[in-house]
Amino acid sequence: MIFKFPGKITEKRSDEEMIDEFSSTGDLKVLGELYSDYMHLVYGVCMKYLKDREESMDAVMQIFEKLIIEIPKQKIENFRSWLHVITKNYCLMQLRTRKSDDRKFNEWTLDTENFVENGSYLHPIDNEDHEIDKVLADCIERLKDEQKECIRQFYYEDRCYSEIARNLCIDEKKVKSNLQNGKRNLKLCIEEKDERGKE
Amino acid sequence: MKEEKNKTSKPISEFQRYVRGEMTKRQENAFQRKLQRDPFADEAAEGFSEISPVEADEDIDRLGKRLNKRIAGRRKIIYYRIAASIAVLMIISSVYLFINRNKPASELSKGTFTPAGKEVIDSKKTAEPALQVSENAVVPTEVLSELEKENEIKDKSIPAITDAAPSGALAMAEKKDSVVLIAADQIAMADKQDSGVLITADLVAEQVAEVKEPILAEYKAETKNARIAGVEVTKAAYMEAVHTPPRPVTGKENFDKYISENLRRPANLADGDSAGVVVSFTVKISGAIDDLKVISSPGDEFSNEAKRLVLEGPAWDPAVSKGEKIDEETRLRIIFK
Repeated sequence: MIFKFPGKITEKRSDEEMIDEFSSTGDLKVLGELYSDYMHLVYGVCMKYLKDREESMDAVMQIFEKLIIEIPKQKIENFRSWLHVITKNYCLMQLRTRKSDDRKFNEWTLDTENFVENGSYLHPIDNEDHEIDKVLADCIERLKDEQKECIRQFYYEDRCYSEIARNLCIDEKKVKSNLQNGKRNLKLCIEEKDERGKE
Repeated sequence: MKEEKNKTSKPISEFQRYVRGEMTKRQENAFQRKLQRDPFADEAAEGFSEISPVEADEDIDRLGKRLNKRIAGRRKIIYYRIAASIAVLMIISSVYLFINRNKPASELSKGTFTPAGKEVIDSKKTAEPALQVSENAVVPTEVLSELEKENEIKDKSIPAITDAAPSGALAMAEKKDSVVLIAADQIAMADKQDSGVLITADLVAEQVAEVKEPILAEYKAETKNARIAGVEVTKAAYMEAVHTPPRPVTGKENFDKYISENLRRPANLADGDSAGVVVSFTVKISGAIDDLKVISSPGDEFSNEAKRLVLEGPAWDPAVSKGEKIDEETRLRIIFK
């Protein structure tokens, strides 16, 4: 077995290549290289759920240990979203052990691990080069006022969360949920129109 | 950690700028649009809003160090192990040489007999057959020739030592399993003049137990061939790391093909939409599938179809760890396209 000392000018490899190499060699250095690209995201997500710096840092390291075991066992198509799910599940498990009386809530969150929502599916409105589609515009008009306003300012006036929050005198979190819900309603509306169009 | 930051690719520094609030409102909007399409980064950004940018930098920095430490940890141990074995082997060989030149024969033979006990004495009586056994047991020829030379010098203690070693080998050949430690002990006792030997014997035995080639490795170590011993150690560590998860007997490609050919799309999944189900199950040593559970699924129709595909699908080979079949849980993601 030869120990490798990769030169500094190694080309940036894709996640998949690194996963393959790790699965076949078990070389932690490779996994570490891959993980370091995502560590800040994993940490951020842990902070969101655990709300404790020390605990979140421990979680980041625990998740790394988890990857060492899980990666060789699985066929991972999209490492980024897979890691997201792993991270979220880990945090929810932590929360569950923290307060087991909230179990119902957590189970519900785990079950709705929304592959549909989070998958590679691209919402029509997130499509960068969208023309102002008539159907879309029509659907936006039908949204509730607050949702409509958030969508309009975010997507058509290029305003950021904090600006919209200030303009509408609502919380930033409310802006985000309005965007989220507005988008869901838009999707339904567009699909409905599509169906009718086919018939 | 400055290097670490420079190394990171563009989206991360963009992410950092966002977290630090260094963006203009327009840039923020553009980035938030990206976040809308990237739930992972979106949640992470939300998490970072819980702490100050300074704290965030601090924590990421510390995590980088912890990760590096974790990665380096295991390697260091391997190096230490190799270094330790080499050092100990060198001590033994020098002590061995030193003793052979200086100690009177009678004293030496005493030293070997007392601790080694009956078995050694027995094997001394049958010195000739024992040597034959040692030949069968793949003793490198160097050892033999060395032993022969030393026999010529008619130093009585040497045959005693060589007897002891093959008797260890003999015991192993007879009992096959679980004698590694005993064999190591015997060698240690035979060479008891130096306390360092005990350490090697233990060390070698421990590593060798993993490789499952006890005789060979032990003798290699005994020949003071530090390099060979080093290779054995890395090999042991490597074997430990190698683990084959359960897999379908048909191979992964055929399994995927099976899934795509036999998958029945639930009626409530609109054309063009896709959904994923993750199931978990244990593949027993026998290959039987047990404890099939749905980890995540958009609905019962999906769950049932995923379960059906697994249960009616190709047989599975169990996981193999360190050369032995084991029961192991595995997960499978089935995508409904």
